[in-house]
Amino acid sequence: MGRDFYMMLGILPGVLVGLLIAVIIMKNTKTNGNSHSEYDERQTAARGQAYKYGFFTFMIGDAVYAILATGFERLPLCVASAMGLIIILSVLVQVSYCVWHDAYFSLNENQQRLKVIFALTGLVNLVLSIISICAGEMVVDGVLQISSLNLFCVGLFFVFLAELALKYRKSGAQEDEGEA
Amino acid sequence: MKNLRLKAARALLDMSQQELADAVHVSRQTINAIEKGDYNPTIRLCRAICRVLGKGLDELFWEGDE
Repeated sequence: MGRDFYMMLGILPGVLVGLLIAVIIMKNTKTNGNSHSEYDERQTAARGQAYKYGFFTFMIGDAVYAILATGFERLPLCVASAMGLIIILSVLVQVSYCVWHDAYFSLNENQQRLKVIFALTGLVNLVLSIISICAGEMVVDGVLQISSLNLFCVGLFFVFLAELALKYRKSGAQEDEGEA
Repeated sequence: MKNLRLKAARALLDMSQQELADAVHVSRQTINAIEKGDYNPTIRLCRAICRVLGKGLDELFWEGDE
């Protein structure tokens, strides 16, 4: 049994634990005890647009990767890293659109709790990235390995939280404008 | 086009955007977007807003005399 087999074997419980954590988070970040998010009609429409942009980002990223993989004998990142990067970029596009159109957080969301969870998730990924870099597992023979996904996740959460902070600041300045 | 009549009707009842938003179960940003003219609400939301503010659809959302 090779190292890859054990790594694949390790991914399954990892995914299951991830799903379990996601369900717990979904249940505990709602203000009314529901597990599903409630969005109003404007938010639903904005989220539809966001998914569209995320989808096209994925399509374009996939096509670019296919062209590069065909044109170059060796790319500086493995297939898993490339796919992960494309997914993360697509998610970032979707999330960013939602944030800037006030459609990310649902009506029944405990925003502060969710932000703390995101910050902690980013931090865990940062620690894992540092461990991978120190162990020399991040880059092997000049090729980014699957552990680079942790670093990409750090980037995703950093940009996301920065966008939330910017949006909050911008909204705060405009808030009184329309108030009674 | 800004919906000043909605803003005025809300102010008349001394309601904040957040209070109106909670009453019709939408986000404060959605009420803000409607007042600023950035979002056209569905007839369902228009009716809900009218009900809370005690106004008719014509009074708040008809653009004919604006």
